[in-house]
Amino acid sequence: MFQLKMNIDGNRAKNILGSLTFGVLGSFMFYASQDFESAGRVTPAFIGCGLMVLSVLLVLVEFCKPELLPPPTAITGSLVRRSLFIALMAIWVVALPYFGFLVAGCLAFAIISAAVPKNSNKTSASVALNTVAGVLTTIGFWVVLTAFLKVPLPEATFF
Amino acid sequence: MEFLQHISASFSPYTLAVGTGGLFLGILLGALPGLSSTFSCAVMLPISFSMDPVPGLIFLGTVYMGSTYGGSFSAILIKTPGTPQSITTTFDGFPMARRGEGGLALSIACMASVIGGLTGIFVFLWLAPPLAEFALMFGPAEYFWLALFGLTIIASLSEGNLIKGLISGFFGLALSQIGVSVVSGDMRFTYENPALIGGIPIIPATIGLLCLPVAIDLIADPDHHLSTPLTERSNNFLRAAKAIWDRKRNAIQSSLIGTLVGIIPAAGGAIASLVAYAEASRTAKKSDRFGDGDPGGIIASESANNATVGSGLIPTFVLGIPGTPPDAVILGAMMVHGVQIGPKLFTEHNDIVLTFLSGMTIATVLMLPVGLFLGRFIYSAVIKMPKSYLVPMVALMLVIGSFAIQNNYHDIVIMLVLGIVAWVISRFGFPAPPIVLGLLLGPIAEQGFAQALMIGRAKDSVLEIFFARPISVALIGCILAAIILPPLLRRSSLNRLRMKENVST
Repeated sequence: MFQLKMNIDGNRAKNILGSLTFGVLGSFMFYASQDFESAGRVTPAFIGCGLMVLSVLLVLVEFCKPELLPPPTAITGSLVRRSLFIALMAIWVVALPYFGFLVAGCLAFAIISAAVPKNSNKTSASVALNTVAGVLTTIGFWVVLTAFLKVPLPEATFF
Repeated sequence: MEFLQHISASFSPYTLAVGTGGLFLGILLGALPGLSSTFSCAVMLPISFSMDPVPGLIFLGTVYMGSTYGGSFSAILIKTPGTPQSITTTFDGFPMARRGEGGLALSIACMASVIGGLTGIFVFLWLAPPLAEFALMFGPAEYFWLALFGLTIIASLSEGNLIKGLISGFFGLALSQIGVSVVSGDMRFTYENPALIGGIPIIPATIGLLCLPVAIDLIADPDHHLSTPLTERSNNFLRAAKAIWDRKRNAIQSSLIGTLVGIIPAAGGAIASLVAYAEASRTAKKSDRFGDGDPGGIIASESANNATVGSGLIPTFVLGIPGTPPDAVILGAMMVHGVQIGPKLFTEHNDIVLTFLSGMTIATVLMLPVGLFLGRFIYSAVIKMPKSYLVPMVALMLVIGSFAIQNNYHDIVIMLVLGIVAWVISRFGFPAPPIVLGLLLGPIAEQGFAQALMIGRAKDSVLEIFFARPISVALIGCILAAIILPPLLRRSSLNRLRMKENVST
């Protein structure tokens, strides 16, 4: 019973926080749109109003008929690994213009591969295999895209 | 009869090789998360210049069709639709793959794509000129209502969360306001950042909003994201054929919807698959299973988005108005080859049109063996691929897919930021697909609204422009039905269920 109550409260907090965020975004859009020309103002003002109205509606439904708002799917698995992945992606994206697609891609592939959890214990051989596979895959894509399809990929400016 | 003659003429080894090669390359490119039909057609364009006009156009057409179908691979197997037209395929495709029926889902997608593709081509063949006239009946007000209809559908498909779906849709509309206004030329919400002047690009945004959250969740646990196959793979062909035969009405209806939406310039596969999916789930016998791994969902989505390939070429060929970005690439190729576009094309160069269509017909039929073979190969590869390889591979494709269309580094940043935002808000129960649709439909809706308003003011008949034209009235009716009908139907089915329970007790 306590668990159920906790879930409902958690869901309520999420819905209120979500509606507050989008409500604030809507009001910001509405007020910022007042600086635009009359023709360019209509749509952002309408969208801002729409976001505000829907946010209020969400809060009202949450308090009056919460059963209409089923809780989002529960999160499973490691939050730390998720955060680590996001951080690695961010570092990769920041490093791309400096190290280029090839170097940054190979490094990112190997590091992200190492960050993936495994059911069995990681051995140095499996880590080495993943690294080699990552390097070969990145080089393969680079060759196919730049040499055959003539699609330029980010080049290094650092060296 | 003339068409049959061209069909037999198209059975040359060269045409068959060009068509099969185009399909093969298109499916492979489309199967990679993030690489869209536009990208596939654009990178294959120089190859088509080395061919004669007709084989060159057949090559590009088959690349387009193959990549549209190929998008279903990543949508079904990794839940990462690289393009908006595959969003609805994930709704039922990925749940099927999770429970070990990925091979069946891919076979169904292949057959549905062939049905949709053939429908679009045959409609092009027999009804191109009158349908092009129908496309011209869509004025600014109709575009506005069509965009709203698309948004309403996606929001109402957000099971049990209409308000949250609408908020997500409005958030997508808000994102579409960033950049130079299509109506007034205002710089809106750019804050002097040059990367935002052109607005939020749709492909990197789609990749970020729909694919990055999947990659973030993939890394969370060591278990493989797909179950091992439930049945022998060899059964999949017959099972898929039976699934489609049992839902033949859905396949035909969705193909026709896709064809009709496809001829409207700028509407494209995303709206087509959405409308078809909503209609299929509304008319299905066991509608409760839609969204939970029902083959009908894949049939609706895939037949509709492939039907737009053929029908989208109608305004391109007849009017010279490309319906979608890949159509624009094909239009460009035709101009380079010296083929005159417009109504005269059907009188002065009828042989080119017929040979092109017959080649496309043969290539679409060939999609069945090619697609099934590649589907089986890719499915077994994804099933066997260790997660330590799959996750960085997906991440690599997201980076390449975001960058490749415009060769712009800022697109990768936009992909990353929107992906993180989508993952966070999905934890709060706000779905990501309506954001993509909002972003896609925002400019169409705004331009349609502003132009209709200006025309209405000039004619002193604003209300008439918006509410009195027959197509507008029909679309308004569809919007109201999309909002009102789902809760009513759900309530009536609940009441029926309760009555049954009362009778049994």
